[in-house]
Amino acid sequence: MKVRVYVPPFADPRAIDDDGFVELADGATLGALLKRLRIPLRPLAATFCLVNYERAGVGHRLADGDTVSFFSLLPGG
Amino acid sequence: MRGMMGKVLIVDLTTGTMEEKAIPEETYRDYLGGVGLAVRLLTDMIPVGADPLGPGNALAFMSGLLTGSGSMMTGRWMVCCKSPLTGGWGDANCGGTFSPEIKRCGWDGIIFRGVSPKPVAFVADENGPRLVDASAWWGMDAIESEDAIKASWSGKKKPAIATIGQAAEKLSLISGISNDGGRYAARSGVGAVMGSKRLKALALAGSKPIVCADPARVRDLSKAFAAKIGKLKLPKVFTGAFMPLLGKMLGLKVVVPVDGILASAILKKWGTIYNNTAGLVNGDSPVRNWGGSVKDYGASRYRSVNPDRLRERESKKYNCFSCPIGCGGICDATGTGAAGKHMHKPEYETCCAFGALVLNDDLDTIMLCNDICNRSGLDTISAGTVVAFALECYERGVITKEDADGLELRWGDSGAIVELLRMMAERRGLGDLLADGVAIAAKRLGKGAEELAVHAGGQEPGMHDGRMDPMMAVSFAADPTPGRHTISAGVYYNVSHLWEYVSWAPKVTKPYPKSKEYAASDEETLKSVAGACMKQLLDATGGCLFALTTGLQHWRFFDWLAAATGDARTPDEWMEAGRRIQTARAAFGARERLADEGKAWSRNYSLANPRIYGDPPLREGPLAGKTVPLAEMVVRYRREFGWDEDSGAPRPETMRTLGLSVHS
Repeated sequence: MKVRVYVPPFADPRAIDDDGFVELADGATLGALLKRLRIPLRPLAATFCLVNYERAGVGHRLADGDTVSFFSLLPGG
Repeated sequence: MRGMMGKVLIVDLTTGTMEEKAIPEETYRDYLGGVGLAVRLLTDMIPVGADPLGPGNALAFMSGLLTGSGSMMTGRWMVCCKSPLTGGWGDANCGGTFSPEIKRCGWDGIIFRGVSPKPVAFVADENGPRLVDASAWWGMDAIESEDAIKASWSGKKKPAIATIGQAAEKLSLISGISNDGGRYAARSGVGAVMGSKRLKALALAGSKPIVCADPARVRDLSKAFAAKIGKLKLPKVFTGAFMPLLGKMLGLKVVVPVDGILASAILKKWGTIYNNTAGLVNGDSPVRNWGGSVKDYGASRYRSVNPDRLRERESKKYNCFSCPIGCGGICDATGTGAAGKHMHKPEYETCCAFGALVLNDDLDTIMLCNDICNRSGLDTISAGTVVAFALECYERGVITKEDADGLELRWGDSGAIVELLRMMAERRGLGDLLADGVAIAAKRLGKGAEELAVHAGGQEPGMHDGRMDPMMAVSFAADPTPGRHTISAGVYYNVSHLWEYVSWAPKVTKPYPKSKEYAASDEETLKSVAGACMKQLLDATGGCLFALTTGLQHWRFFDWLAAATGDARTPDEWMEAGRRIQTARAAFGARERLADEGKAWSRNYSLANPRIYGDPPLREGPLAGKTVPLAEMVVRYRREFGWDEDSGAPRPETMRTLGLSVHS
């Protein structure tokens, strides 16, 4: 399955494809996604992101087509 | 076109006469509304080479194509004219409640020409449009006069009011037009044009329906968007103290795509002041007249502008018409020295212009400067830049204590900053010399002051550093209204998701190295051009930039356009209208600058002060060593638009392709 990700700048971008998606095994959790992106302090990191614009913990099971977004400022503008 | 009222009102202030002008369907199709419709009409109405402060200039108050249709974040009004500040096309826009009222009065715009023999206000209510004597309000500040008009109002419905303050009456070229008690269409010197016409105010209270093609579809889109915004909540850890860390993270060497709707949760909490400290640590905020960095305004100082400190003073939130975010707020002004008990919350631009830019770390002083500007009508971006310019002139001996009427103009000196600002608002002493912006002030001063005058094409740039966002620098230099921070920038483009709709817009879907933005490449050029075309669509429809930055996948702009108008054109075709409007704005400026050569009001400025693009680069801070190849980027931008690479004038073949009249 593929999920759309909006990651923080310290994430490892190598797992992200040209369209901004990460391929994961079916039923993978948010924690697994964060691990794949090499994001540290995963339980804490999960509080900074939303799955389909809802709060979710590291154990949350992702589904194909989900959007995982980290809160961010607009850097400027 | 559905969603529009089908006509504009033209008011001749010299004769006091008015006429309604019906707008042909093909004009709406090609130019939409707002700035687009204004540039189409004013290009014909304003005589070539007209004095921008004379009777020949026209001043258009425009509503947007989507305003009042039921769509969200589409309630901005635009004011357009020949700019006395830059000599070219001038426009400015503002939220608040004024825009829908233009349409409810029955028009898509109200255009003023001529000069009234005495101060007047334009009123439109259930008794129709008329001019009334405004002598009693002339001399009042913008907020005072709005209150006085409201107090004297006898109509059934409360009016929406736009007014000018004393700085505009005194023709300060950096003055704007207020509505809703101090929210501003501030740029391009539009206030001076209103002052030159002796037009003190517009008060509108209409009741005509605004009819769109598919209201049910518009409503469904709006409900979905409002629901998304409504449920967004920031984690508790997002406090003002956390912002510098977050800002620093975003100043790293990698640019990441941002899901803009989550950033709007931050806007919901603080408004634009979220950037007060984040912008300093990542280099977005210019410091010390664009010659310094966070090294000059470190943590012990920038903590004073922690957004939480302003939020503590916020007594209520403020939403513009049709906005579910509500980035505005009303603040308690007690103890600041402001003239009233409350004021609109200072925007980030104001906090930076009267904070880091002048090395002032006193929040009360920033709030007081906000109040002085909002009352007198001075544009806070320009006025803060002028103060910074004056401080540096003083430091270098270009301005002496004697020139400054005994003031010691030292960096960060609150008393001197406030007094100098008052002098500008009142055109008193040195303030008179400074009240028309840094470019004109530098010419008046001589002695090398031009080097210290930070402007682009005559207008002071917004408080976002082009050395951090090269697309912003291009926009400052190459837009027909130079110096504007809201036109096109990497940060806006990257959250817009424009590429999902527009076939030629480059895709930004995965992290990329920041260094890529500093290369004059085809991709960066296309992003600049796409951003500029999109911005013209916003200004034609009343759209808010912060709506675009939620991302078009959330803020369904093109779907709203189709539903409101019934026009089934593709996003590429809508963008073509944006390109036409942008080119028409450029053509107007090129025509006027050529015709004005040798005249007293001629403006012929270089692209931008080299500090804006880092020539030489800063030696320290987050932008140390950064230089933007601006000249090459501007050439590419103009080439992509089909404009002359040297002058920026649209080429005849471009004009013909877009169906624009070619002027000799």
